[in-house]
Amino acid sequence: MSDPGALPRFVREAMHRDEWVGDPPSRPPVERSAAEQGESSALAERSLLALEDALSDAVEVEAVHVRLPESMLTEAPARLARFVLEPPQRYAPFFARVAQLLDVTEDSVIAELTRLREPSNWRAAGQPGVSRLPLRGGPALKLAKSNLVRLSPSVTLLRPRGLGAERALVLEGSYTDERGNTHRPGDLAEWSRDTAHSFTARDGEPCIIASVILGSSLRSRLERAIAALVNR
Amino acid sequence: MAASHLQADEVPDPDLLARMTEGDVIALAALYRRHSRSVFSLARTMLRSAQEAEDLTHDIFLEAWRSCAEYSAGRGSVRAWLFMRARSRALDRLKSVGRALGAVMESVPRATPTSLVDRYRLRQRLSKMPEAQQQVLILGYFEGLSTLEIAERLGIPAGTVKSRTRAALEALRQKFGAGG
Repeated sequence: MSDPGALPRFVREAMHRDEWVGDPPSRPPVERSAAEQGESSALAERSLLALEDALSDAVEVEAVHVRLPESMLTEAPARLARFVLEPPQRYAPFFARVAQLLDVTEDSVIAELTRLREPSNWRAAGQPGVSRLPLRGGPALKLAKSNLVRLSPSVTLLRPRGLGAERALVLEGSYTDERGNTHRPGDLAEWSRDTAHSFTARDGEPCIIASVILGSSLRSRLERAIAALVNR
Repeated sequence: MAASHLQADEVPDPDLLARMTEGDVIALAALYRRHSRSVFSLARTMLRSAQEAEDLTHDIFLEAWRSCAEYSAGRGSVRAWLFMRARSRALDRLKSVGRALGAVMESVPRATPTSLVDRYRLRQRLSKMPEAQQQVLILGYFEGLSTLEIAERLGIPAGTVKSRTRAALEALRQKFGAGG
């Protein structure tokens, strides 16, 4: 809750001494910098979390004696599990990071990732064990190629030199890059235009990556295939 | 899977949140097992409905799943972070129900969040805070009133409400050591 807007209204109003909320102003408004306002909202948040902690201590003591409805013990955990194991909620911890990567809103990301529910939305990517699902990027990515890339377990995808600068965010599974580094969900990796690189999905689980490629000099699929062979 | 569940059940809350930022659903399940009873209890006290409390508990853990990257251990406990969200969402629901009912009936009895303060004996915890500051804090924080609404309720100027709010926050920092 670092956003001052997330604080309760009466606290926000109290922090802005210059804001008129009913009393006639008796003195000129006090100028406060953004840094000062950020600091005071952080302090207010800490105070309220301390109060919430005191409340939660008391609730927890009493909750021991609360008889939960049967549905809370069985159906509710199952319902939550079903919800978070299905796209797009499966990837909810990454919504903000994917939005930043694609230069779009989180709502757009949710709409795009909902398409993962339908397996037929995946397209062949010219190599066995690799498929892709094109994504819509924002204004900053008009000339970029944005895709979700799915690698079957143990499959390696080569990215030849000249393909373009690539940024890749892992959403599920993990992969090892050309240097042997392992990248896990939530990790963002970047390669410049002049480097060849690769993704090798780990054994036993597929890997899904959100990928953005900018500035490719390889225009056709044939050029990319030849480059991949030359760089192998 | 059973071994992973056992391991997750022994992991401290902040580490569960860190694992959730990597998409670890088992960490979310462990967090749910650990705190859903308390969140449900708080929600039921505020909403006075087991069904609504169950729905709100579900929503809070989904919100935690989506917002786990926003949590910072330096600001407070994970439990307080969950409770802040739960109490805030419960207030939103009470307000929206109040608005809907208020359109057809003026004097609808509603659950007063202030009852939380009495039920959980928070006044004792706030006992060293002057009564005037406690009033402002309880009305603003637990009932969700704005500065003007508090001023009207207490019959004091809005500027006084603001200065009491600032003093109450300062007192909380000193009492609970949240100076950061």
